Amino acid sequence: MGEIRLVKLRKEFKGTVAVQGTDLDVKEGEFLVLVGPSGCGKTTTMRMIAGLEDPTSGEIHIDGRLANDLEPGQRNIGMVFQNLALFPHKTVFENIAFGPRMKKVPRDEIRSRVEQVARTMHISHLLHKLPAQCSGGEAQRVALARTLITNPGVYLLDEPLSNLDAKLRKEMRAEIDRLHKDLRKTFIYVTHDQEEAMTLADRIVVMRDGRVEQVGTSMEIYHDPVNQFVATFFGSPAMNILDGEVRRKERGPAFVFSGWHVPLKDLGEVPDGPASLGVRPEGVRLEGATEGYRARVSLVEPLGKETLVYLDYGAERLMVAVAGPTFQAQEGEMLEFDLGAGRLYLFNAKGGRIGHE
Amino acid sequence: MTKAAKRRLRSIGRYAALGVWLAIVAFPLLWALMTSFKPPYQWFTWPPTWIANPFTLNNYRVVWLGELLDTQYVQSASIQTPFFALVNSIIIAGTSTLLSVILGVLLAYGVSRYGILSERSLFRLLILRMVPPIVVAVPVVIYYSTLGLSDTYLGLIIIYVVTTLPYSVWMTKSFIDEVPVEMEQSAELLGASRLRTIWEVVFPLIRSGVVATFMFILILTWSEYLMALLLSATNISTLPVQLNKYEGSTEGRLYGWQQALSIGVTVPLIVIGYAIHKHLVRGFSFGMLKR
Repeated sequence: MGEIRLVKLRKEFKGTVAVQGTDLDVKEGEFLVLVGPSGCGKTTTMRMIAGLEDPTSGEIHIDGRLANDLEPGQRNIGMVFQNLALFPHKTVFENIAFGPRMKKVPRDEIRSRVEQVARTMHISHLLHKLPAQCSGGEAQRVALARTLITNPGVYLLDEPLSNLDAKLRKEMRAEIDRLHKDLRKTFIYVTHDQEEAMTLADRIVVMRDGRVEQVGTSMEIYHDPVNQFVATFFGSPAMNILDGEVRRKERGPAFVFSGWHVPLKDLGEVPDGPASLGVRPEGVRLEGATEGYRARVSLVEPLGKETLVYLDYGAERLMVAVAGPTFQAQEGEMLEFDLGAGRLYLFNAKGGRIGHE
Repeated sequence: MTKAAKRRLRSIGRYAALGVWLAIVAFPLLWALMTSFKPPYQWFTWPPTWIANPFTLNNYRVVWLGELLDTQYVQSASIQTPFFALVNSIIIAGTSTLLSVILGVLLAYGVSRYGILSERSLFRLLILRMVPPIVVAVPVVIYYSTLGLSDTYLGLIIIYVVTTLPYSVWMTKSFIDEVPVEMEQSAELLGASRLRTIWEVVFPLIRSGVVATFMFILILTWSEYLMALLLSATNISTLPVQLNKYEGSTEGRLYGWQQALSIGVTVPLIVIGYAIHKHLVRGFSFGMLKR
């Protein structure tokens, strides 16, 4: 129950391609997150799985069975929409009871099941209210409860937390995580928030322009991105990218940027030519630097557990570095830093990763 | 002047203006009401008789019950059987409004959800309303007399449904557009059939709008005169047409009878309007749905 396979799934809307031939296997009980900027095709992919959009071509298999021609209600799938889509004229109870009522479950059983689900989601006190009388977080729980009660094999969640404030979002994120662990059902979750993706996912599917860029665990995506897009999409602050070129030096290849030479010793065979160097902010070492790179501090942001230091070089912002909580620096001061401490990523002019198999 | 005093002054001014407006609007209605209770010799007097004296219900008995009273004023041809025009109007306006709204909702749903009509054909539908009715009237009269639809309920109902359908579609479409499509989709995912979804999710949300549309169309068809006049003869006569039949060859307009009938034309609309005013307020303030 809850296994999904997409084969060359493609969707066109009046000439524009929303999803271009996606292949994807979703394992039973997996928490899969589709992530990417808006318009990348993640929601369209999810809507095709739900049966709300017909694919232009390709196949959708649910539990080993071709599902292209199944109606949404026959796919054993539950979905929570971005705008929740609660029925505003029905009470919370009636909203949750809607699914079982459509399946002709006897009245008494509906009542007890609704009450049980309401307890699980901590919304027992809301049952007689209308959705408009619930707060954002409460409405969220109601929407989850309404899906939960039908006990689907697959849960589809389309940016369910996007309308909540930051604190509530973290709470609900934890709630969804707990729900997944309790239910052991397949969850497919769409978001454009990389942090949400990293914290929730067993596996992440990164999409851009209707194409799957990379599939992997949070750690794989973070530490081993296949291209510059994935590399800069994940991580906050984002990975620093320096545009320069690769030149062969006596002691091996080096990245040359405004007179700096960054040796590329660990990247193996690297072709000469224009390239971009990627360094994660936590890979820039400010304390005890020995490599002799210097830049001007333009902004210092103490965040409590760490300090963000923005470095300018000439008129341009060069990079962001993460320093310790007690790090002190004056704006305008010249600072030395090391790049060799962390991992270096090299990208070619098209954004592809160099030295990635 | 204090802020409170200013506000008070402004509200006095506002109510004074509204009072003047009310007097202008209400005077003819009150005059009609009063005239409807006057005996014939007070219909034409100058200076006017403000209060009917004696107070009589004869006018109502003539026009509504078809009793032959005060017949010296009129050829008896225009006296009809009891409630003749009222029944005609209820059947014709009621049926055509109901049909127009039902068809309108179905069509609007298709337009809103499936795009069955292009934006252009939608506007064409609306342009249909901008054709002066008299231009259509003559051909319709000719076709109708050939088809035997003249002077029949069906004939007028067809004309009314066709001419009001653009309004029904446009009005109800705006309400259906307000219902997020995700609501229907989540109902579907929860196992509801399409009809069930429309009945349980869409309809309750657009009900006020549909009621407002119904009322709007009813007002149009209830008071339509031109087509009703041209397409009726002796078998049918709607209230607006009947209204103009109370005219004597020597006496001119028979005001008492006309007013007795016109009060009856107006009252049902006021009563219905009042009964459903909650829906009207919500329905006519488009964009009622909280997302």
